[in-house]
Amino acid sequence: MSGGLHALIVGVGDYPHLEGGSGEPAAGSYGMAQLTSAVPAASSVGQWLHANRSKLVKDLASCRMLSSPTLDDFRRAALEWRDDCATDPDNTALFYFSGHGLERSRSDAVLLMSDFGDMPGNPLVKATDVNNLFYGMAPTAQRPRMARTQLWFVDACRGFPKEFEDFETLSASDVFDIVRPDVDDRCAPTYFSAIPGTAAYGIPHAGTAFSAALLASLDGAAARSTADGWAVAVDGLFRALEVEVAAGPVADGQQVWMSGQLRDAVARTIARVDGVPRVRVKLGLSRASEDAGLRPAIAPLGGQPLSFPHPLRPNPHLCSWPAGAYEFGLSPSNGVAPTPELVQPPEFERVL
Amino acid sequence: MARLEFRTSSRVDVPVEVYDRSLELVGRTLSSRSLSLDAGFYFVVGRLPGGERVRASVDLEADAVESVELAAPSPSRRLPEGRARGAGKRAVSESRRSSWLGRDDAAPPLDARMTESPQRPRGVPMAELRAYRRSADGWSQTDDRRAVRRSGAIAWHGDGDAVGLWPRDGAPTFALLPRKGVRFYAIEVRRGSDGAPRLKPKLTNASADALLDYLMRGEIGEALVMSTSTALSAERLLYDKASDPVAAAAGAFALLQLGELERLHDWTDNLRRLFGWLPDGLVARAEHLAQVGEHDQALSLLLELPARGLPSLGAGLAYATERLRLYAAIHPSKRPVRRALDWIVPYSAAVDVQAKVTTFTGDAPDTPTVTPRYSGQ
Repeated sequence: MSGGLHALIVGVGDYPHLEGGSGEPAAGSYGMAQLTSAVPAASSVGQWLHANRSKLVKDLASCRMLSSPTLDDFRRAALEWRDDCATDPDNTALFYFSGHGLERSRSDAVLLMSDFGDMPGNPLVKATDVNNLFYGMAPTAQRPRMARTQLWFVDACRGFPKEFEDFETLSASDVFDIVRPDVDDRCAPTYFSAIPGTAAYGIPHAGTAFSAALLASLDGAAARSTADGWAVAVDGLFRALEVEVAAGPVADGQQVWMSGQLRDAVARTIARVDGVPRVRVKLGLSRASEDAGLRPAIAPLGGQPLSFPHPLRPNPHLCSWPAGAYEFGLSPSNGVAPTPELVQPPEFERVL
Repeated sequence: MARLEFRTSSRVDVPVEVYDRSLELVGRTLSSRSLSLDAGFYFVVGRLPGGERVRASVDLEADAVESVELAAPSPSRRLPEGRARGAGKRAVSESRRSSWLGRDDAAPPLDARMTESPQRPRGVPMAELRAYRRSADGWSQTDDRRAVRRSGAIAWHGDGDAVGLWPRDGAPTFALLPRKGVRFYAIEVRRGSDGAPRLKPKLTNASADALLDYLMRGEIGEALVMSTSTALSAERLLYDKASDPVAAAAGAFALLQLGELERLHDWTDNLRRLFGWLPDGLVARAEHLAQVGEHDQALSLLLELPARGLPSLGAGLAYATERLRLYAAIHPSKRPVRRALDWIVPYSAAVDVQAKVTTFTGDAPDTPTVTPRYSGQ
């Protein structure tokens, strides 16, 4: 397969001019402080790519990782990354950012770099706009061989600071020069870790709910069965991210969001999965079944029955099974033959 | 070859996937169609518009025609609402938060964050619907008002260009519904996670409404096959006597997001020309032109938008905003571009991103307001 995967992974946790920082305090911190989860989150994504490069459908051709970069550092790396991505339309571009973010509209996010707040005036001068990055990566007459598969992951809050007057008219700094795009035939979904106006959560010193969900998705939560085994494609990614964020330990109320272009999303495979992925299962007994003293009688097709506590507690019962076909019934049999059903990632619910 | 057919009580086509014993996807279609398959055992999975998966299995014999029923879980097979027995707090919160609380797709969709109704005096409406009309002098409220006493669908035939929901407690929400097309929208009122009633308009064309739902949930494969439904064909939506341009706009936006430009043909141009009162047609055409590199024409259309009005579909508002941002960056000295962007951005900032129809908080139809807040990361 031609083309390679070029990744730009950014984690910004050190903000010297925000609360708790080592530098001169910014004129306004807008309630933002240091982040202990952002850099570990970015590191985990980069480490996953390296550790799983054999599973990637495209060779990992480059992986740039930035830890709390200034805007200039980020701009330098982004320009180099763009040049790499523009060498072959069969390339895949992957962008991941974890750090502070602000929002101005439904599919907009402003990403704050480490030197945010280091000078008076426009507070967004050390921040950049996701749209600048997104459209800067469009195919153009100057870059006709731009990667046509692009995966954008924005792991940041999308709050609207009450201190900002006329915030929507403020301009963030451009990283890319924006020229007229050519025919834009990218598959370029953008996954946001939070819907506009809401928060994204981190696990102190360990990562974020979204980064954990992303890795779980790539490990199999977003997988589909294909002729060549299980694989993760673009079309399954959003649903898996949703489920994994909701199932995570710190994501109370956090909801992921998606925008961008989805051309051929079903066919854009990202990674293969070793073996059979596991599925989050919620199994319940109806009130009638409980009252009748029935218990689940479930077995993988051709396999041994699964065991469950009796009575089923908690009800619903949360568990994890290998993806596959299972027969569902009750014991003692209530006269109804067990029914075979498909248990597929990312989640499965059944009430008996 | 055998043939597999599907039965469903859903009032719209349901995307269906068929898997063989080795769990490989062998076919994807709509419930109104059939699949020709080799004899064998198959699993069938359908995705209802409300998000539930419905499952079945079938053993097909050679040359047979089998019909599989795709039914939503009956109430007796749903998990009981409220506290799970024997569960700690975590299981309860997961139960409430997840989408697994078996829903009938024929019933109004549950807001995933619905809460109990707050106590209030009997007979006191929880909100009021008001109609607004737009004229050369700006917006004015009409005499059309309707008390809202409970969540759910509201029969609304207000004569205006916008509808506002004024709750007893909480911020008002507005939807701009073009007067000529008000019959293409259905008004619903739902409670948000804070308990406050929210305006949740949807499309009366159930297929188009379902298509937008699939896309908003990121169910791309389902959206792709749903977009091929005959109920969503250009012939039916644009040219039939019972045309539905709002549904046509929804279909166009879906095809644009899915990158199915080859299927659009002159859909967007005809939508714009035939239904000039619908701002979404203009946006769909502009986005179509932009995606094929015709940016001058796209920009020219978008500059008409402030005079024509706000797109009534959330997808239209998003496309218009992002394209105007792009063009403002490419043409920083062009004031009309900046003016158009400055006009639309406040609406984009205030819009309910989980609403298919453009709905925003504000003080008036022309005064969107954002609730400023910042927390977390």
